[in-house]
Amino acid sequence: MNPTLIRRFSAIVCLALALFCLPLTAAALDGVTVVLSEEGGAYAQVADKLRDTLAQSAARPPVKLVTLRTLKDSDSLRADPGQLLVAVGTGAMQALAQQNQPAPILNVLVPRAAFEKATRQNRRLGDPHRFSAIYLDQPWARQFALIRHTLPNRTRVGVLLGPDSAELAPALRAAAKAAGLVATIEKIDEESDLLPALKRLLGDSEALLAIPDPLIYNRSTVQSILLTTYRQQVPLFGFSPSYVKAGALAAVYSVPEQIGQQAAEIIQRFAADRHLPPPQPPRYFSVGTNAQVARSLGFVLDDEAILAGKLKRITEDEP
Amino acid sequence: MRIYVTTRSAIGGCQQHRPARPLSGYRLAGCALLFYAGMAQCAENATPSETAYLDEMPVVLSVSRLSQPVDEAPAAVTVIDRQMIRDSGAWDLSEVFRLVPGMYVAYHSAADYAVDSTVSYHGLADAYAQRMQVLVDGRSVYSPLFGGILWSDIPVALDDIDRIEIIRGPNSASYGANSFMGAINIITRHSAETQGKFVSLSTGRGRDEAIARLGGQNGDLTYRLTAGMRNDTGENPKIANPLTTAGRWDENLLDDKKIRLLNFRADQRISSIDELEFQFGYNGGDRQEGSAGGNVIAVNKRADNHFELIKWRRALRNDGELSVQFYHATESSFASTLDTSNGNTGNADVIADRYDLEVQHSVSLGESTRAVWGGSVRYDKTYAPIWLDGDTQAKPFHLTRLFGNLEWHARHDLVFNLGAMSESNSVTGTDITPRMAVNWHVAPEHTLRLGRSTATRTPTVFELTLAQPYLNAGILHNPLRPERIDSTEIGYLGSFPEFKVDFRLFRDRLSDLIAETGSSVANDNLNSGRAVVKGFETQIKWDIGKQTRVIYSLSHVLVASKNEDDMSYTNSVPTNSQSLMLTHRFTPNWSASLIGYQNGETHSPGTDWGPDKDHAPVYYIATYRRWDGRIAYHFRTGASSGELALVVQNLSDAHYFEYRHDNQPPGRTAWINLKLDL
Repeated sequence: MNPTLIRRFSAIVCLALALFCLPLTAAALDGVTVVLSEEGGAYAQVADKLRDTLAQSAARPPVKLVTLRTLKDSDSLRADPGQLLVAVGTGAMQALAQQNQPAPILNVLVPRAAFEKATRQNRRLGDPHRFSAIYLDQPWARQFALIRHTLPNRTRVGVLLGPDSAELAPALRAAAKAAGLVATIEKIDEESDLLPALKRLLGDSEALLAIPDPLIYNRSTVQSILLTTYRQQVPLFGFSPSYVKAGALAAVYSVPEQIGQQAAEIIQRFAADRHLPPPQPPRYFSVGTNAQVARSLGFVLDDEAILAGKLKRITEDEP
Repeated sequence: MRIYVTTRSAIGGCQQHRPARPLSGYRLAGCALLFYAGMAQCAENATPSETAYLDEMPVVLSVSRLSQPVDEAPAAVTVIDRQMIRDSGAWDLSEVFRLVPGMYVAYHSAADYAVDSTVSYHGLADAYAQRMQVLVDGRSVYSPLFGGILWSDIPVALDDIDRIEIIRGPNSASYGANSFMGAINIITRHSAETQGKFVSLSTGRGRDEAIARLGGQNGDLTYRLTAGMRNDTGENPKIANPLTTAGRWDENLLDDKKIRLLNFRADQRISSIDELEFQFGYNGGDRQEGSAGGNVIAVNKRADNHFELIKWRRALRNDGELSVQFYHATESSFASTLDTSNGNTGNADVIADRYDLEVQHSVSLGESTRAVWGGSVRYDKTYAPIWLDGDTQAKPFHLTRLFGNLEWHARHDLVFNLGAMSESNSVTGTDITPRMAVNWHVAPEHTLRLGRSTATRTPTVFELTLAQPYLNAGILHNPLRPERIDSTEIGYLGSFPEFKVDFRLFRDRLSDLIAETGSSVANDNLNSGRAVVKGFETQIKWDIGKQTRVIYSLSHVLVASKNEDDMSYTNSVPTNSQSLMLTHRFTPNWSASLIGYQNGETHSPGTDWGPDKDHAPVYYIATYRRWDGRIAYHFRTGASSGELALVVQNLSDAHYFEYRHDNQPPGRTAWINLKLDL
């Protein structure tokens, strides 16, 4: 036997031993591979925050960043079971879910509907400890609580739903009721119905809650929606900071850093018990308000941080 | 109740208190967008994704689109919205101002040029009502020749108007000269709000109208095109129950109108912070003018008015905004005069052009202070040989302006406004007009306002031309100066659960009023007029339950003046006038409104002689009341909705005069209107 063969042989033995010993060393996390749907932007902000937070933690697992594009080019990602994969964004989530990776996957910066669709399509249902998520959307209770706290005297909340969001109606009604509000829902099937439906809805609404549906809320419709609601003096509650800037009265949302922070905390717990928690809503969030719109509509709003604090207490009180 | 922020005074004030947050969501979204610009068109993607949360949205409700709360405005403001316009049963735009406290509206088919209504605030109005500025979407429609507004000639459809804000009191600090007794701001709807097809058809006694509108969208461009035709026979030729048949006092003036209207507006979103607005408007058609039996009448008059406007707005950081606006407007009419005594004809064409460029910047200066400032240049040229001493050269007029307003929230309950306008024009030189106001929220929903404001009125081209020969001949040594007003007011605004009240006490000192009479020429002072106008006015909105609303206004105005140089200011405004609008919704389908107006006795300057001039002055417009009514049925068929309404003006068939003895409205007048949103 030449020395090369001996080295190879001993390497195989060591690897076999290592594999054999794996359950005993389960508490150790070999590393985290973060897969970004795209370079830069919000995806990178999640990853940066995640890496920085983990770097300051006790476990300090090595963190590797790859983008979906490079992954596709080389098809090189073979994460071993000792790794944890973090998919940032829907694109990365779908790609990894299809690859049948042996490593557990935490999906972040993904809407709940996208995650649920991916679990169904890739038969990952019932596998939450190995395929879990931090949703990007805020729980209904939190959104209705924001409306209740900004407009204490208003109870009727209008919601426009499109084909992609129509199924949310029962859950929305129940959540509104639980918050002491009444949700009025108009469903539309095509964009030409949008403004007539909106006008009908505004006649019977004291606030409008925006639910992401590409048919209803997009760059070309937001102008008509905001102008129409403003003229009727019905404030719009958005779902991103961008909506607040555009003219929504307020929104509750999680920025990428907040998602990154929560992901880092989940990874730290994962390092300890090798279990991903069940899919969960964002733990950290911000409230944005548009002071100019509030003033113009005659509302006196709390400071953003105070509103966020109030919502936080409510969320924590929930079972 | 709110006022529009383009009233430069009325800039958004209370600052957003944003604690320093390391996680600035806005910036994050901004970065996200820069990268994901290509993903913005996610609309048709059926797979839900995070892009909806990360996409940058255009800044739609930028500061200039937002209204300022009325209780923080530095002046008294009345807002008339679309519903109020509709409920009022107004046929002409000018009629809606009857609902404004202190506003004097009289139908007036003047024999000279302005066959129209005269609309003035706190009186002293002649046929042209020169002492009020009117803007449509930031464009002045104040006529340069005689001053005032040619209400029927404005290229705007009543159905395209979003709301009208009336600033009661001088407002030169915001709008410059001629915002003298008040200013009116007409704001049309954004083209994104007028999508789809709309028609409005009216027919009734002496009046027919058809309006059609088409609104569309193409990516980031929204637009609308509104076309209209109106035929209006105006007053009856003969006066019912005339005071006398002598001196043709049994005849109304000629006032038939055909109005052809075309308006186009497009709004192009260039980026999330930039927007371009383009407007084009036309209003033309045959208009009658003069009296059937007069010696000189204008025949075959054809109006031809149009404008083009382009405006760029950019939303800046921290609720700031920069806008640049340019417009050109032409007010013209073409007519020949006919001297019935000898058959001679003359040229009565009028062509007035206006070019105006304005830049405006609003900015937050710290947490409690906002500033808006800017400047503009304007060039008017007026061709009207018949009125301008036969001169066939267009008369030029140059104007440059610098303006600014500072709004300071000293405390949560105290708002100070300090503004000024500096204007230089090519005929009367430079004027600076300041304004100060403090609004104190004595308690939530209760505000006291104390304001002082000054304004000027620039002599019109006609007035200047009239004085010129005397100056040339050395009879006059002092050229015309601008008129001045110094106004002090105390206002109260109260808001109760079902009840909103606006009360105002005012004292206006007017000086240098232009009097072009024989004695003022002899005294070598054409600016001899002085008057003190004082009084109070109130406006009340009362919601009686959910289906009934009452809007009431009352004004009490007294004018003290020596009436120098034969000018009769003293009785030129009704001492008491009031208006009432009661609206009720019987069922979701049926609604109705009843509107009443009462105007006190009015002696308009230059009209208070009688039919027999030897016994002058004997003639004036007596107190009159008028009741209008409207009943409407709302319906829906499929995706379209509509409204069928019956409007009756002058329900009691009262025969009374407006403004002058030759303006008797045509008794009870009814029409049916059908509006359809398709």
